[in-house]
Amino acid sequence: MSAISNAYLIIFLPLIASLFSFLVPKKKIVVTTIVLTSLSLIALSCQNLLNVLAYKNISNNFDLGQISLGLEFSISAIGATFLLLAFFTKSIIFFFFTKDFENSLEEKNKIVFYQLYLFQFFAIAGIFTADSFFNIIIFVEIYILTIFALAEILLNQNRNNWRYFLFNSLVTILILFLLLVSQIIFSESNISAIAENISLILPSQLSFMIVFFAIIILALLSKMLFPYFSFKSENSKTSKFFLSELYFVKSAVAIFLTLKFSYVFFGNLTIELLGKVAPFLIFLSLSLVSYFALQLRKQNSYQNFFQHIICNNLAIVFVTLAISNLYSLQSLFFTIINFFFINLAFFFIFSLIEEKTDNKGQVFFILKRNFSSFFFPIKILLFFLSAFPLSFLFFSNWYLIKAAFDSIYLPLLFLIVAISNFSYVFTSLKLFEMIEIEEEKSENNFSNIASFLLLFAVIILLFASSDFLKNLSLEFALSLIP
Amino acid sequence: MFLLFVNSVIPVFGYFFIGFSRSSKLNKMIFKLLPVLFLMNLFGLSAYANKGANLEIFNLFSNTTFGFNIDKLNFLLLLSLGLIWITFVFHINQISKFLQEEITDNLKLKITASFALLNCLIISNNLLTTLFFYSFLLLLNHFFAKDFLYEKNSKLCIIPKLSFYLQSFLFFVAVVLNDKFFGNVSFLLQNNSQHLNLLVLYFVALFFIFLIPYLFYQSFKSSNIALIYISFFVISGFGSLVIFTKILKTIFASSASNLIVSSIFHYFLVIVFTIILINAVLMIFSKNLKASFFYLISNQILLSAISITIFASFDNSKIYLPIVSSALSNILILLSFSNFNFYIEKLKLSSIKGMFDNLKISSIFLIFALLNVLPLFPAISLYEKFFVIKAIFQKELLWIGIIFVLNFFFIFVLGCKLSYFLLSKIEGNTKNIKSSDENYNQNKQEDLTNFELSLNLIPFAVLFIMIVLPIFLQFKIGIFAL
Repeated sequence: MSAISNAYLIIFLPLIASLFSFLVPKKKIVVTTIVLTSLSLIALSCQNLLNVLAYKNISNNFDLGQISLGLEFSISAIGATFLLLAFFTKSIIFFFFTKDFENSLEEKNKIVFYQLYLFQFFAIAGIFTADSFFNIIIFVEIYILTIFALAEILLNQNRNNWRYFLFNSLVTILILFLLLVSQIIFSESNISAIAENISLILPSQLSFMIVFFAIIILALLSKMLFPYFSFKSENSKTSKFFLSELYFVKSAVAIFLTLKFSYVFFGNLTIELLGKVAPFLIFLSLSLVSYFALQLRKQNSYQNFFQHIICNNLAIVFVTLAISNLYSLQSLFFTIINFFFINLAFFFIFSLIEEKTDNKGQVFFILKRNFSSFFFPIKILLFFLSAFPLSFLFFSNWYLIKAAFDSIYLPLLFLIVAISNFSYVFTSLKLFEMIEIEEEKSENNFSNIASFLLLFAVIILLFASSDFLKNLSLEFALSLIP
Repeated sequence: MFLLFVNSVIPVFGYFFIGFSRSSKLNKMIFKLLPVLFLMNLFGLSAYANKGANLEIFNLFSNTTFGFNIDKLNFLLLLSLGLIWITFVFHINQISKFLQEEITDNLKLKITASFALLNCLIISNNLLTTLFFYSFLLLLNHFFAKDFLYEKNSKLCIIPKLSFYLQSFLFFVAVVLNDKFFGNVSFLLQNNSQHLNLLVLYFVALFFIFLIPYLFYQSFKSSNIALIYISFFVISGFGSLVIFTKILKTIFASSASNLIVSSIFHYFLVIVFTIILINAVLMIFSKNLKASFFYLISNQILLSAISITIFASFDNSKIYLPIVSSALSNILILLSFSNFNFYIEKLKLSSIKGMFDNLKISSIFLIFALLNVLPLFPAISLYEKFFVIKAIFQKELLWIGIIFVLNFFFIFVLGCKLSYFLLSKIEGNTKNIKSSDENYNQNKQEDLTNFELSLNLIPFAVLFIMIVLPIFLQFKIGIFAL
């Protein structure tokens, strides 16, 4: 299959599958369609990633203007990576929470929920592949609307939902206005074409462009991140699903859009701007990592744990953005990969443990009780969390240190990496020691052997894939650097 | 190739077997058999030592492959490792009947794991693979220290924990810089006269915990058998020396002589001088015998590192000498000291005053061991120091000369102090033992008396090797004709 037809299949397969699910609204068929579609999309995205590594950029445009919805696309390494990440994450989340939907949703809502979920795959495929500003906004809108619809079914928070819907509509109007401005300035909605024109901007227009840039990024981020806090307090099983969807899938979309608009759309302007705010970003990162390193002793619940590792990840992201060279963007790639694989896995494990106990949130203490079946996946994750050689965080640190030596902020960057790693290592050791104490009591030899063999397999896999990951990270960074 | 693979697999297999098997008899047998198998395999490998052999498993990033190789240096290092291993195994086997079964099992497991990692460290074919195994070794050292050395919940535990972390982090930074400066992480000769600071960074990174041992010792348990912390120190010291030797022999082979005369190395030597001085003063004035030997070993490891640098500068072909000499000398010191310590603890004596009457053989071995490090005994240490002293006089290496003279003086004072205590006649001494006999089981006492003879068989074997080895090396007899 050629690279272009593969890309079209990624865009249209979920659309056809969701239309099919609307036409045949039988639960078993819809669920089977989701499973088959998600697995096919993961396989196609893998193929797409390999195609991108071979051809650098896969694009097609029939020059149909604004009506070319879904027919024009441009996939570079960043799009291909996020496409795979989002499909993989979304599918895993679905498989993980299927039982909960079955138990907690009313029968009439189940089919609607599954249909909407399938439709989201189409929206996501559109966001990550579209190259037109207008098309991206349309796909984002479809995605956001399906999220509101899902929230309506799952959480029954009518009042809040409406409030956020109204807020979202206002932001959409703002973005449409920005689209109009961009159309007037560049007479173009294709992002690649705009990126070429933006370097020709006169110095007198620079301040206007900076304001334009800031508003676009803020609008997209507020659209993507705003409902985060509203579902945080919910404790039901379905809200866990919703949280994972928001934290991992929606944030993938948010990160992608921010990177695409910052680096691809505005190019050198972003790098210039980031260079100016670099001291602030580095100071912010240093404060974040130091604060959480000082809070290590108080880390006793899984909420603390997540706050901790997410803030550490965020600090590293700020640093990579502040430096914004080839190495730092490679480091960013590995931080993102780590976020989507390792943090998600921790989220699942802690959700499972929390489900089996009444003591909500206190997973660290609960681990000390009878949860030996979770020990070996946790051990594998600790290998990744402690930034052990050849783990994702190790590569992230590797490239960040390399980037730091080209930067004038070397001592500060060095300090940030050292402190953030210190936190990772100590958190991992703390968790490992808890597990080890319990294992000595349980004498579950099979679990020990299994965990060692699994760790061994993971290490071999990491060894085998390190060269591929390096090449992918390089392409990822090159696709962002103007 | 196959032999190299078997060589890397034997210790790992042994570790898994001892770790997961429930049969203590089988475990004991495997524990004894492993070093023998390892040495037998080494004889097979000796055929490849001259021409070299490579086993490449995976392509890693940064133009390197994950794999193992054997050459002359690696072979001699493996031979030293085999000798240390077999010594440890027999010694642990002999004292195991006087220790709790839990402690022995844990000790056996950790010792086997350490040797498995040291083996991989020696034969690893690039710095990235080395970093991988070294990180595991440091992690293992942390667990070793946690299980056997620290007082539980001691606030000072943070010092060794932090030291291990910083050691691994600094080594990681050094490897990243190696990649940045030379474009690869292989053990290949590089044009590196501009990057001598990197070599100093390697030194600091690899010997970090030996640079602050006086802080480190504070959190150690006061009542623990010497062998445990000895094992710990020998293993971590040996690992660091191995890496340092390999780096100097390959990457910095051409610029080591520049390093010796460079100003940065002189500043660094002043720091090492200060540390050695602090250690030496603590060694002499410490009332605790274990503390004295702790500082002595730290100093010997630092001095071995300096010796390695000298050999790398003046006689690259004999670069293995310091590490072989250091390994054997330290083992002799530690075994004879361990015998003393064991006796003192079993008989609940307060000091070693007048012990010469009770432990004549152990006392003689202890004196031989100290004479060997001075070096005033015709053994491997004297053979090694001959070349070092020659280089010091030829090149007028003032600071290194001062450090070695200082070391000689302080060990001499320690030897005099120990000899005075051992030989002094105290009337109460015999009574002391007899009075403790009343509380002590008669059978055990007899066991212990015979035990002294059996315990000294291993130090005798080590001493014999130390005397004979220089002859074999000088005249290139047998497998030393490489």
